[in-house]
Amino acid sequence: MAICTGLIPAMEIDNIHDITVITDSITAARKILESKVDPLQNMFIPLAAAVKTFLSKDGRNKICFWYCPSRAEWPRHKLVDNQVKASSCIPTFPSKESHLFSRKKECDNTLCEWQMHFTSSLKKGHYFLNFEDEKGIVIKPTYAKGGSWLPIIGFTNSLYTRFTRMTTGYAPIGKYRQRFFPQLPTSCPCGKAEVQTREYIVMECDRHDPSTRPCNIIINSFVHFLADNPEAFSFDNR
Amino acid sequence: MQQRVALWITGAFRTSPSEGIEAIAGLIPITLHLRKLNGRHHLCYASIPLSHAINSLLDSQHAKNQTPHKTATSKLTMKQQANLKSPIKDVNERLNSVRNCFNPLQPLFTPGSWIVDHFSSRISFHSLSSSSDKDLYQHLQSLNLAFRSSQVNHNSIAVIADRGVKKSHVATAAAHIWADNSVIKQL
Repeated sequence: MAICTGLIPAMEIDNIHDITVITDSITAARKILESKVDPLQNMFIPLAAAVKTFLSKDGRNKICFWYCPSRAEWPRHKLVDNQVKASSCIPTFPSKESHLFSRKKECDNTLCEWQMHFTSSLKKGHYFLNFEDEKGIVIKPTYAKGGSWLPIIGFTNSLYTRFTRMTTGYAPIGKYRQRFFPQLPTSCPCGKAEVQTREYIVMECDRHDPSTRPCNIIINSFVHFLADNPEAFSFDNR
Repeated sequence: MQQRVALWITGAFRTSPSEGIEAIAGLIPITLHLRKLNGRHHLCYASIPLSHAINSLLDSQHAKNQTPHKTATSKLTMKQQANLKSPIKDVNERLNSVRNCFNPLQPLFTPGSWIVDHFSSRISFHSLSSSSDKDLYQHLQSLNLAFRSSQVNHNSIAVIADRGVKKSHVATAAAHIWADNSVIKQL
């Protein structure tokens, strides 16, 4: 849409043979000219027709598309970016949705349903820990880009595994053995707790450096605790 | 079924609660995933060509000017429609709320008329080879050179375009047209 806004008036200027288009969406530029069936096809048709007319008119006419990501903050692109952000439009509510919006809505509805179900579900485990992110918002499940937890904790297989055990409470600790293997010892190897619980390991056990203990329920605090104490929630914790 | 995969990904115990480890592994429950695919499949009917046989089974407003088949949903009685269990029925209901935006047989989009095929030597794309800072720096250097050369030549101009989507789902776009090192038009 942005390319349509700028390129069509540019091609109407007299005595112009060379147009350099600088955009943060090179994919959209390719879609216009590669002519495939696309949900935005109707929007591209006027531009594609204008480009064809411009290039047919004179053999010297040419168009170059340059990608300029917004994160690069290229000064002249930043000016346009600021104009877009400052613009205010009153939203209109069309009687029918666009195809792309409908596809997105299907995904959003499914994700919302999963998150609502997960919040109230007992099948996630009675001991499941609800961590918060750095903004203080409880982490909810997602499926895009590896989910909500994996990108934060997936540094090593060991850390990810120990984190999963700690979060679910199903870990090689005394509390778990008390429930599933009552004949095995349940006390902490430090000798100060009769039942080695998850909370005791994280907050009280002297075998771990007190400075590494998490002081809030932000996920990164627990990740640092696990990274600093490689024996916590592992089978070496005996 | 999914629990085995989640166990394999996370390395958790076999007795671990399935929904908990599936969430940590980033696996959406399969029932919800199938529901999403089903919903998106209904939308695919909007993109089929005008001559596709399926069109004749849909309601007249989605039939794309095809003559309704004798078993089309519009020709069924109310009782038959109530008893009908078919994806076609769901598609009709779903497409009622979606704007038709496809035009697969538009002349510009037919093979042999593509712009990139006719004018491949006069259209060029300069994208970023990787997202590393080094490549971005080199890309911006080349972009600066290209922009400067477009401003020196009197027959050249540069169009800088940007778009954004606000939280209210309103899409906005803006563009500046540069010539002789100054903005000659703001759109």
